[in-house]
Amino acid sequence: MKYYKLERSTLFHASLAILLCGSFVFAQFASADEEAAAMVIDDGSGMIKGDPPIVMTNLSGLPATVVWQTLVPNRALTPQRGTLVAADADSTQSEEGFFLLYDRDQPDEINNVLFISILGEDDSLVTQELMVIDESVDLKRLHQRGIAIVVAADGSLSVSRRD
Amino acid sequence: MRRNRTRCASARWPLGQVLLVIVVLGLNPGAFAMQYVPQGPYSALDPPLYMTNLSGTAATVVWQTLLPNQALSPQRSSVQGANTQAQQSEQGFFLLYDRDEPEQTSNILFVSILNDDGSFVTQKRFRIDENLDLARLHKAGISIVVEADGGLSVSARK
Repeated sequence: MKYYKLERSTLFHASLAILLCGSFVFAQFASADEEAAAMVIDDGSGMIKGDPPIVMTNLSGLPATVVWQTLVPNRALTPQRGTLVAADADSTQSEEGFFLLYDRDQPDEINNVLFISILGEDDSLVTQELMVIDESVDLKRLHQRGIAIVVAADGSLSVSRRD
Repeated sequence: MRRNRTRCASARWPLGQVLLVIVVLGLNPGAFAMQYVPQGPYSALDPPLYMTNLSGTAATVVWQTLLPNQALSPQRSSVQGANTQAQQSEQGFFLLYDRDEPEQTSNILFVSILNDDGSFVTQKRFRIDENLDLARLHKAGISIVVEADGGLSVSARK
């Protein structure tokens, strides 16, 4: 039976390597969690594109087709996103969030209008609500928590920031 | 008695007229176009839209009308075949105005080309305000051109 004598410095380096690996793995999980909460895209255009979550509740008893878009006045309108909200949805997170656009150099001067609509079977608008997102909004919190959309029992819509 | 009832019904809906209605609706797909009634004191007109595609490849074009601070119309779209010239789209564009102040129309038409994944390739804004002849715009509509380089241009038709 052979015994290998480990020198003190070897043990030290091995411990250090294990510690570093552990920290790296932990950091990966932590950052992935942070990204899941607030995805931010910087495509170099000068506009930052955030993608905060949307949570849906449907009290109408019927499935509802909900679509949403973000407008940056005088600049851009984002692509339309949408989902079929199940009749019994209760704080269900939508697969897609909503675009939150702001100037990279002036993130405090955010000015977005979020349009949320319920569509009829022929894609006509049944009802529409708009939500203004401006500098009075806690941007970091909005990124993390997102918004809540409720289809009320009478088929109307309400939109609010999740606190 | 039974025969009389049958005769009355056929007099109210003569077969010829019913067939004529079907043929007319069939020839005019716009008759089934989506209607849009904005919330509030607003009305929507539906002027025609003509497309030209010079890009050599088919393009998915979407458009929507914004009434600033008030409403965003439903999105309409069309897949425009390659090398088409001034082809009238099946659907027009919504022109929104305040019923109480129709002269002060202020609309922004967003026209975009979409990728296969639904993201935008490019987007153009076309401002419609009191500087445009609205009666003419309603009648003649607008023209959208997908340029050879894939860019977009939007203009009022003369």
